[in-house]
Amino acid sequence: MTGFSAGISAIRFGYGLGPQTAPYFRPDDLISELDRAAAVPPLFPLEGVQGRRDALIDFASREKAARAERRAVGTGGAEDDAIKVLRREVQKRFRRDSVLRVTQAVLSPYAFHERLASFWINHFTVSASKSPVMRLLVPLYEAEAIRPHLAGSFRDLLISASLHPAMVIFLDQAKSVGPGSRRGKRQGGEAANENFAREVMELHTLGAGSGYSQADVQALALMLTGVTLAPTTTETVFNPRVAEPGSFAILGQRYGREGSLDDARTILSVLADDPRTARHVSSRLAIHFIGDQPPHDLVEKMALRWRETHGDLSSVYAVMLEHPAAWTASAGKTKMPLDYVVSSLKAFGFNRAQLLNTDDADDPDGESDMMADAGARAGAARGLGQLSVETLDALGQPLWRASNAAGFDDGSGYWGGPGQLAQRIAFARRIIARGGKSLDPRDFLQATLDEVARADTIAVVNQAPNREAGLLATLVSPEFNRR
Amino acid sequence: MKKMTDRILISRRGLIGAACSLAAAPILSPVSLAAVPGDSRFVTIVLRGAMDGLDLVQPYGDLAFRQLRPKLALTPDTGLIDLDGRFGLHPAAAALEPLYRRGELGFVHAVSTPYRDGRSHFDGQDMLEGGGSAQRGSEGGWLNRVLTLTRNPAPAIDVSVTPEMILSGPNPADVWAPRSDIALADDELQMLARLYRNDPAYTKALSDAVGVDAFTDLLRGEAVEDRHGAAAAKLAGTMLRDKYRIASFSINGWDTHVNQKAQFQPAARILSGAITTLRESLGEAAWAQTAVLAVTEFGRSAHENASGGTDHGTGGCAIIAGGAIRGGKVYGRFPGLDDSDLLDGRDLMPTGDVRHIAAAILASQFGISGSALRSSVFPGLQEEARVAFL
Repeated sequence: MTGFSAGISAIRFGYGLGPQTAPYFRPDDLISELDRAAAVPPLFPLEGVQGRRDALIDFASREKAARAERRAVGTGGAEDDAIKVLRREVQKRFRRDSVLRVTQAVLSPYAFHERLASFWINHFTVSASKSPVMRLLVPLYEAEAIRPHLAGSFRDLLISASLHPAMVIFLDQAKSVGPGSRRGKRQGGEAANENFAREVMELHTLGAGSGYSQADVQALALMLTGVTLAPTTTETVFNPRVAEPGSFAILGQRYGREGSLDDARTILSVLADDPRTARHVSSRLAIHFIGDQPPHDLVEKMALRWRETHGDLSSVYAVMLEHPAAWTASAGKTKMPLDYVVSSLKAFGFNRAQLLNTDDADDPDGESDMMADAGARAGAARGLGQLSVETLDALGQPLWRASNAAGFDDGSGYWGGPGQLAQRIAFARRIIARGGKSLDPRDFLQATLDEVARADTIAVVNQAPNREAGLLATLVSPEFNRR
Repeated sequence: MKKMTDRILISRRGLIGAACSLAAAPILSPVSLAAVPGDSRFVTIVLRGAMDGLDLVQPYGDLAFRQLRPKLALTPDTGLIDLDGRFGLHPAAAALEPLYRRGELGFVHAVSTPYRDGRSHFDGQDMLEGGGSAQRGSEGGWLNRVLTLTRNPAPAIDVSVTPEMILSGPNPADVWAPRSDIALADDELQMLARLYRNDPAYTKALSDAVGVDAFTDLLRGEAVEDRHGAAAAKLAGTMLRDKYRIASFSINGWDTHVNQKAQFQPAARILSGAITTLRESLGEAAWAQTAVLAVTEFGRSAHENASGGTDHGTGGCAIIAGGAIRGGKVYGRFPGLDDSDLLDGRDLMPTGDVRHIAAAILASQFGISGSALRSSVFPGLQEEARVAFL
């Protein structure tokens, strides 16, 4: 380990420095927090994990009843309204979960854990935009399928994410039917849906262009048939009636059937252990945390440790944290919007009440009321969490709603344009108005960027024409927007 | 092209266009208000960023002035509005001329707070708002301490935009925000240009964000600016007419380091618009009982610099307005601009203390005794002879 710096550590591997940020002193500190962090349930989903599962059952039965009623009575009546009410409830809960998700990232003392959660939820992307039930499922997915596994073995994480109902729905696996299965033979003309198989190989494990073939994709798709959802509980189950019988040749090996979810677990374990997966995922991690072009030897060392430990993620992170590239001052990686928003909020040390105040959560248009007339009461401002969620939409990283399975782009170039800058300035000004007026910009700069501050920023902050401008200069400085 | 960072002429509108859905904090701050007994009103306007008093009220009769400021100095032949044969008003503040002629507006030149030689905006503003006794905001503002003496605190109302220091403190004051849909003052845009000058990617992003038609935008921007100059003032005026008697707000945009010729104008227009709008929205009767005091943390250097701007200085100019003051005059003892007259050879030498102006107005408007003002509103302020403008 060379050149470890508490400032760089907090900025590059956490959500930045702030009044409540506990400094890391060694790379080991980052690793050792992960176990403690996993033991603390996140603020979302709103009703907790068990409560959300109950809500899903309730949702399924109410939706089913409303649909049945509509079929019986026709469209346009009270039954449509029942569906609308249900959707509105779901939408409201999703907005609340979104605010809680931002709040979790700001308030958690385990910043490396939070950043990893954001990395992995993006690696194993699902989108709440897919359907109403997904708006209930995705926050649950992050809480129960991603977060508990991000410091353990990649195999467990992969299986947990892949077999979660959110992923099963998102990649259309729930509708996949083996052509030779009982239902496939009865209906005729069915082909297994390849979407799940393709994304698992291309995005989640081996990586595009790593040498698997279309035949491998097809065989994997067939082997995964039977993995589907139970309609009343929205749980992932194995349905033998849609499962393709026989055996499957994948990546040069032949796999038979157990006739349970273990079929999927088996092949996912194989993919997790493949050396190509080690290199692909190590590279994704290094690109995210270190830079758009991470040193070749870093990725090789991570992949080697991966193979030695059969994908023990904490060990792989440790290799990354011990590499000199992790501690060079000018990494220059542009923060993604979530990182920018959360680190800005953290810089002020906003508390839970300031973040969660969502009196106006029912206002679908947001802005309108507050800006309506010249006498708008300053005190009627929306909560910072709500403002942040809207800002993430405007910045192109809407929470839990990536537009495709590849997730949000991780490249610096993607997040550096003029529109991005303008939105970041606008957000910074608004949160400064909420919490920054009494701060001295020079102290704020010191506490927020510490040794990372550039001479230009120090000079500009010292000479800024007013307090807000000085705080603004810190939050929109290049070094605050990079890590 | 000259180095971008020296003269990045950038418009507000471009940035607003890019950031339209998330309107930002205004150039004008929220208005802080307090109720006190009686019908006399008092408004303070904090001009943040160090308003150049020598540009607003130009000593055009002084030959040294033109030598110090070859680019910035105006004369009545080039648009300056003559006030008294010696001083002239910047044309961007033309809206103030009728008030001046009616005796409802005046200036006090060459004044400052006790803050000297530091030239930090933050410390200067803390000194200005703290009343000379506070640094770094710990003790609240002098206008809040006034409320203790008037013994009639306004009812406390929950606020989420924090009040500015001048009217914050133990006594409750309400905070209201005007419509806030203007993004950045010109000096703040220039500040960003300096912030990004060694970072080509950010420099480009900023200039793209603010648009390429910056020149025309600055020229066309008047209507937009005036409207926004009016927003806080209209709000303040309306509230003062009714329940409240004390109001305070700020106007940003005065940090004119580069290209002051273009940059000073929008801020001067906003200030002028704010004062005339205050008068309109208060109405004749209430205006007659109103005193307005606009002050800045310090003045700017007497010399213009190589970028056509001015640097942080010391002596500045205060603006007084309202039916309760006797205007139509440039007050203060102007020290002159020869090298030997300047402070450290660079700043207008302050010959008066802005706290005396405020104290005189407070005594006259609210009947507060001079000794009470000197002991608790402006601790440490020495007694001074009666001020002429009341």
